[in-house]
Amino acid sequence: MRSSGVDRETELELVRGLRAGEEAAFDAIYAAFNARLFGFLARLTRRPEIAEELLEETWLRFVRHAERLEADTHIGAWLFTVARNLHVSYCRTRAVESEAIGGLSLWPARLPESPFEVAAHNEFDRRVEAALAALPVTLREALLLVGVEGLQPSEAAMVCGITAEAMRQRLRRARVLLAERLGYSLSTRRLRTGA
Amino acid sequence: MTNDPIADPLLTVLAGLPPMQPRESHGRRVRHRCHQMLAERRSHREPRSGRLVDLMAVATAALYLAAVVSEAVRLWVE
Repeated sequence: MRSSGVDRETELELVRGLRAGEEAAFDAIYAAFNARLFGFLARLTRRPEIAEELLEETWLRFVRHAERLEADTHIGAWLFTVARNLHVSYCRTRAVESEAIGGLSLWPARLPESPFEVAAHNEFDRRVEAALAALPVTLREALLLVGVEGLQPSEAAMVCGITAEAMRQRLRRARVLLAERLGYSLSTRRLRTGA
Repeated sequence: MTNDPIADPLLTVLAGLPPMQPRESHGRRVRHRCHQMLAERRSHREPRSGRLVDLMAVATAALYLAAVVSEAVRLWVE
């Protein structure tokens, strides 16, 4: 599970700072969430250059809205909601979902140590990324928010603007589809790591 | 599906995917633009506080003038 490394008390302080227009508060929030938002958008769009555009717009909206943030704002949920809505708007204006699965370029922030580990991880990660990328976008975003970004299902439901029950159903369907594509046995709960 | 999706091994696999980073040049540009916007906000806020001081000065002067007039009226009536 990804972590922003920001506890609730610090988060509230950062919101206060940002409402006052403090650059240091913005920098701390940026450092905590930028890579997570980019990963979310890159895996949703499957195009890093589009993900960067949406990411930039997410941050600009965040700063534009800074003065009007509620004192108890959950920064992560706010940012992921905006990023997700921008992606929805993008999909509406351009029919990207009809395209074939694009080559998702990855810029891993950390690499395993040995060449063997690199190869094994890359191969397995590639399979997971490809299986994830092949899911319908509504199921993919559910898995990205809960599985990759570590949001609670109830938080992910808020981000997607659906009920918690609807999110649980999406997660269930997404999990079944992803398991099929990965050759994952739901009964034994084991992953077949071979091709 | 388990009741706790976080504990699901399949989701654990997803959580282990390598993090992604946008290009450094992108990060620099975004931070620069956001810092600019924050600085503009602050500069807009400063004249607003200046206007508040002006408003308070005018109100004080108006009160003083009202007191002078009422005193003059009182003296004239007597």
